[in-house]
Amino acid sequence: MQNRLIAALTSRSGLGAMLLFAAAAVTFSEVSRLRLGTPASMGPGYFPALLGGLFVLFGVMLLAEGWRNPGQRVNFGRLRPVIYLLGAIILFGMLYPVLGGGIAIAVLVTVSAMAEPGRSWQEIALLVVTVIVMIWVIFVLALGLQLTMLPPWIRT
Amino acid sequence: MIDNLLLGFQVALSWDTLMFCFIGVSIGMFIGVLPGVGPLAAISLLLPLTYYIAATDALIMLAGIYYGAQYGGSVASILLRLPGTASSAVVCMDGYEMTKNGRAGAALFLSAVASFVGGSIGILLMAGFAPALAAFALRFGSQEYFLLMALGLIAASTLSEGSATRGLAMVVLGVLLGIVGLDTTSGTMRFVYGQFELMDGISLVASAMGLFGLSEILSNIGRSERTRPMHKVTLRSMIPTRTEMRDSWPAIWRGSAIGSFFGALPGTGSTIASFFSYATEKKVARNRARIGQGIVEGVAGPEAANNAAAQTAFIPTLTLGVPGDAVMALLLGAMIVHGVNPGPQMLTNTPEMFWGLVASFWLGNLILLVFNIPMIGLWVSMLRISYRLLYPAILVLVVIGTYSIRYSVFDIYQLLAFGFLGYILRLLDFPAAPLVLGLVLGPLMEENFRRSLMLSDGDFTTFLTRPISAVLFACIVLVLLAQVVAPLLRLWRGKTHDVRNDTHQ
Amino acid sequence: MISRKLVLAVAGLSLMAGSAFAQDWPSKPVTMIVPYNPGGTTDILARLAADAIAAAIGQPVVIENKPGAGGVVGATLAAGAPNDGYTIFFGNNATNVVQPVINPAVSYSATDSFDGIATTADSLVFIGVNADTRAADLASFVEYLKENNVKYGSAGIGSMGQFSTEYFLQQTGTTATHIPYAGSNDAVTAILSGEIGFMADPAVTRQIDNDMMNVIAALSDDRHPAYPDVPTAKEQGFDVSIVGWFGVFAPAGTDPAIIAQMSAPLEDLLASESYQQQVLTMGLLPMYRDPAATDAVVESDLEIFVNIRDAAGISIN
Repeated sequence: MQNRLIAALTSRSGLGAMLLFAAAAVTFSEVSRLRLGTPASMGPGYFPALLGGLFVLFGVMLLAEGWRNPGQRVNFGRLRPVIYLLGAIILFGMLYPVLGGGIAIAVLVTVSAMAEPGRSWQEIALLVVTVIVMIWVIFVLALGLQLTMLPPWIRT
Repeated sequence: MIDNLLLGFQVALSWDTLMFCFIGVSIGMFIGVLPGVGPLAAISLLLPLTYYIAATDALIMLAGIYYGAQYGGSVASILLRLPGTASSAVVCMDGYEMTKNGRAGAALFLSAVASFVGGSIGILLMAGFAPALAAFALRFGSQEYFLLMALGLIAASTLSEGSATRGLAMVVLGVLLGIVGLDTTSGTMRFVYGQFELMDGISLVASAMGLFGLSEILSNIGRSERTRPMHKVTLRSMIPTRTEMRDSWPAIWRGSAIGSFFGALPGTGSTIASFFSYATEKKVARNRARIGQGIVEGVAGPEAANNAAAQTAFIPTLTLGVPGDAVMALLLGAMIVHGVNPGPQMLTNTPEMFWGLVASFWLGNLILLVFNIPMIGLWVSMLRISYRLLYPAILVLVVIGTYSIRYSVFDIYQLLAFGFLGYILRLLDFPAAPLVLGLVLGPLMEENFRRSLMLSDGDFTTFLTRPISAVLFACIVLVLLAQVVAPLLRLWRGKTHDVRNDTHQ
Repeated sequence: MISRKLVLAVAGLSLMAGSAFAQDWPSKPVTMIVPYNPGGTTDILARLAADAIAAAIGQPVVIENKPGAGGVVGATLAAGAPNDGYTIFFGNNATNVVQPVINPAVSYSATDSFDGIATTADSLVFIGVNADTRAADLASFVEYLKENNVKYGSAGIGSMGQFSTEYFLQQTGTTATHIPYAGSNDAVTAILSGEIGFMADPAVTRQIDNDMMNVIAALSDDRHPAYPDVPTAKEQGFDVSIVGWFGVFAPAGTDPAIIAQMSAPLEDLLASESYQQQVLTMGLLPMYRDPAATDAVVESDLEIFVNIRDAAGISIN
């Protein structure tokens, strides 16, 4: 019984239910500071409160599904590439305003390329150069978007 | 009307004008292919240059960017599951599945044909009935908008395959994300947490690119064997089979009708049109049992719809002087700067401008079709580039494209968050499409519901007493009934034979 | 919050100490932050102003669009930029006055965070009413308002349209219910469809030729030259004047000598025939105010908008 409960909670549907309960918690914590109003004259909190209720409802339904099929497990795959890719984007967001597009793109390409093992540095360098040139040609040269490619100390 | 169209073609077929039309649609298509970079950016960049050319040429070129982008938008969606524009998120579903099945060329071909037919029908309606359509659109008030959005959410609640609970949960999550920001009705910030960037709400493009495009990369490089196709590109694989063509046509007609309708309604447009078309195909397409697994109707319908909508969106702008979306507002601004005054008098005061535009739209669509077909081979051959080399470049394109929407690093983090969310949702077997639908329709539904009751001073019968709202209400009841009755019916018929295998393969 | 006097004193000091500094300026390009997307009205005006300044100071003026939150994102960025004359801001009365008045989360102040360089255009507010009200002039419409429960639309809570309408209602002793829309265009559509009775907004001028809407008054002292047939409220016996404006600002404490160097070319720009023509076609009014007059209009607007806000209870939270 207890094993089945744990299996149900950690099954694909069970974890899905957790996600929905988390969404419900976020929703209700925000709703608590909003005015509710009445159906005929809804305040800003009324609609989100309804959504929060629906999250709970669907969460319970998914839990029941998990109870019935505790065997459906989540295949998490390998975490390394996901962390590398997301990290690469965060690095870009932090570096771009400070160092400009050229360096930030180089970092983005390098880190994301490293998500897959077994690359030579020549391959990565070639990728970096190609992508920077491509971005410069498309976004700066052709479209004239407001992208600063050079780092600040070279700019002026 | 024939005289008017002749006048229009006289204007549009002059060499200069034709050239500007060509430039416009080419830029539009190029922009559409690039993820994140929308027609808004391209039009605002070209706007200052157009001050030096004739008003008609300028507008024909700028308008070309607008509808040209719809053509290009589907390319990255079909090949890479990367929606270049929000309206092409829908095509990701069956389009990318077709690519996985080795039918990328056919999907692109069908998408070009559907786009052309949809666009042409939108233009025909515009030529024949622009004032009437505008008058009809004005009969849609807040009540009708609310019911329409509710109908869309209900009809599409089972947008993708799999458990209905999961689909519905994602619709609700989408609606919740959709209401983030400043509440129009009360002026209250919701779920903003002190971030000014969130005041305008979640970025539709960043969320669609994150949920579809970025999450696809995240799942692909996580695995040793790729889900990405490596089929040989032959001429045969680029042309739809006779069966594929036959199945597509009804979807194209339906999509065109749906798109023309939503385009003419101010405040809705290509994105909503393509979702409604997809929801319709899910219910009525010949291959509906396999929707989401790469059926042609799932590409042809929405593509026809978003292109038809891109054309009829000019109706409220030109005949009422009221733009339906941000890009139209920009085009309207361009017209005013050029001394053209869109509005009810435009047809009588400057007929050569109106009919010149209409004629140029059709020529532009023709150019797009003629240039798209030979491009298919080139696009498909891009699939032969090793994914190892391709994905870092795609990642950079997506990040830069997202940044360029409003030059905000915050939007890059939105993209990241949605990419991660999309990845988690995949692991947990939640479909992403209903989430995007909720994101698009949810805020409109809430806003119009609350406004309806403000207008009626709290009287709920306002949703029934107006003629169009009564019809929409009846539709909602019918759809709800169908969703309850059909499974029961299937259950009863299932005793004799399995209906799921009954549908045509 | 630093007081206005202190800012002026500091500015005066820097005038004495900084004249040598001002002579070096500009030694590099100047950035002009525009708090809206490219292509919109504010952006077009900003580019015209930037070109004029660039030509005069001999350095490029680079536009940086920072849209978001009704202009607050860009304005916050500009208010926090160094006041060395290399970052300037193209704002309007919504970003510089209305937002600080209605939004408690806004961190900058209308009067203390910016020094005016110049205004380059005014935006007149017009009243458009649904034709079914049969009101052809302001007097009959005010009567109509007194006898009926009318709803008015606006581009949202805290929009210029809401403020203008509330001011109009206060000055004429009438009432109407506010229905907020997500932008002026939605509200214009709602008047055409008869969902609401009227609105006050520059956008209604596009409907002057439309039989479904009567544009009955301009809320300004003089008629707009591009719409000479629309009388002012004043002419019709109602003293209601409320005008929006666009202008160039520098972060507070910028050297007045630098400000003067940027204000002068704008005065010349405003005098040119082609600029005036372009601004008029956009439905706006060319209007130059020098740095002192720009600061003054911010200050007087602040008082007006605070009064309207308090009387009508407008707020976002």
